[in-house]
Amino acid sequence: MLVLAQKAFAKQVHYLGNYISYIAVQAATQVLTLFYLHTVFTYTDTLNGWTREQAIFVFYLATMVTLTANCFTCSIHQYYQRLARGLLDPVLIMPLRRRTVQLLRWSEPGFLVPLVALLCCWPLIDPQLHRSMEDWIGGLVMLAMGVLSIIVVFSIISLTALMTQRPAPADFMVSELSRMVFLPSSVMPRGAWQIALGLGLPLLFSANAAGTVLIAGDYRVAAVLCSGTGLLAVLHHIIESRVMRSFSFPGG
Amino acid sequence: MIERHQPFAINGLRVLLVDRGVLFVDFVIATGVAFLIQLFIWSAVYSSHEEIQGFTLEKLLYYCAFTIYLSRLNNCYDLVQEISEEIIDGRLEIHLARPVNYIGQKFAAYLGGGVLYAVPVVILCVVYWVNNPERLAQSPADLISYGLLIIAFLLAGAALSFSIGIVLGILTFWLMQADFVLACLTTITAFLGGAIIPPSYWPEFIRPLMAFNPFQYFIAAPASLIISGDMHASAVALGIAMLYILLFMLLIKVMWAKAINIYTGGGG
Repeated sequence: MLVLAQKAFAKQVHYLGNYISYIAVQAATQVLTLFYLHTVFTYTDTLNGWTREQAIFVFYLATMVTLTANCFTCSIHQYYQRLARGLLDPVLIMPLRRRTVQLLRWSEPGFLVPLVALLCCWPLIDPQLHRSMEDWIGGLVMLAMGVLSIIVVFSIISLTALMTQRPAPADFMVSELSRMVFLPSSVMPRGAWQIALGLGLPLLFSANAAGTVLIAGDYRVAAVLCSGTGLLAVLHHIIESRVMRSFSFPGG
Repeated sequence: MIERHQPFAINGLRVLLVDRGVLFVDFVIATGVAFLIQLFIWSAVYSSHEEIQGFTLEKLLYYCAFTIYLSRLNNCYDLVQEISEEIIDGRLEIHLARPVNYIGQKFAAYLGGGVLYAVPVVILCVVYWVNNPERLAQSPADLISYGLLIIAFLLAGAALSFSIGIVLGILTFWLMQADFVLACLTTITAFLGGAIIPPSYWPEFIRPLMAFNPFQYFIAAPASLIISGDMHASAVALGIAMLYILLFMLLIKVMWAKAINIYTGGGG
């Protein structure tokens, strides 16, 4: 596993220009989104009770969650592209578990470098650093669950390649859906809509669940995120193991 | 002339129709997500306001829906990518040898694909007019001018976005990789084009940039015309858009002449 991650990092850093330009474009996009949030808050003091500082904190968490998930989703994307082209056999004879190969063989761990820089900024952005230990643990677990939710949704969309022999535009779909991740939970639908969205597309709550735990100590959104991610992960496991049994890797 | 370009236009449309997965994401998810973000945020903001910068919540949401679909209609991402790949792979000669001008081929294909993306804009116009009949001009002459101005804006928007796409595509002759340009394009178009919020919503210091950059003439300006029906302001905007088109055409002519001299056909 470590070798796979090391190789992936070396490959990413080898194309330094590409790596830096990607980070620069992502940074520019985030700055523009931040500017949009700033503009929204010139017309209001709170978004359904959430202040500017709290909304910026959720945006900050969203940036970290999507950046971490990107490390792995590009590997899953490459895995299913190779599967659809019938090029998977050399990868499957590796003495590694298939799930490890899926997540790490084409991963881009270089994205964790800006993540470390972002983590260093935490004390400057967190609007209330003093909270109980269980809220700290709960928030950090929810951040990890948020990353997992994006990976699971990406994988489940990619699964269609097993049936159609064509790669699904999972990267396009997830990057579009991830644009909603920075929204504070106060502006998202509540009640039955929240549960339905959480079960179908848990990635929509991938950052604000942690935000709600860390800011308000409220675990309701976190419960929706965990249920949705768990449900989709089980569904993915069942469908994949069933379809893979009869899959012949001829390419399409 | 039209007969010679027609196959390229039909091909441009077919290419889009073949990839139904991408088409579904583009039509439903990409547009839906962008709209929902605005709906959720501005519903919260408007809970304490009746009107902001002359926009009610309903008007703002119509504006957002129009700009989202107009930015999809005038999206030159695929065009830039296609030209870049042809230059990098050294496949340009095949297209240059055809009895139709290279830029003409690309424009026909761009218009062909655009037909598909014009459908939601037209549907949205009908929905808007049915729900807001008072926005429509009362006299037949005004109504015809309004209709013609919208059509002129859609055509000028296609020409302007195409010109920007060609300029960015031609840059590949020098850059050899268009990844950075492509990555910036979507974000810059959405931001400068006014696809996120109306230019008047941005802070004062940035408004001149938002009001006079070329991107806003194919996204925000036609959306404002459809919603406000202000034909005088829109006619001025259309004139500026035409000036931008002429400017970009001149730039394309100069760049193409220089680029084709350094092109070796060896790829990169």
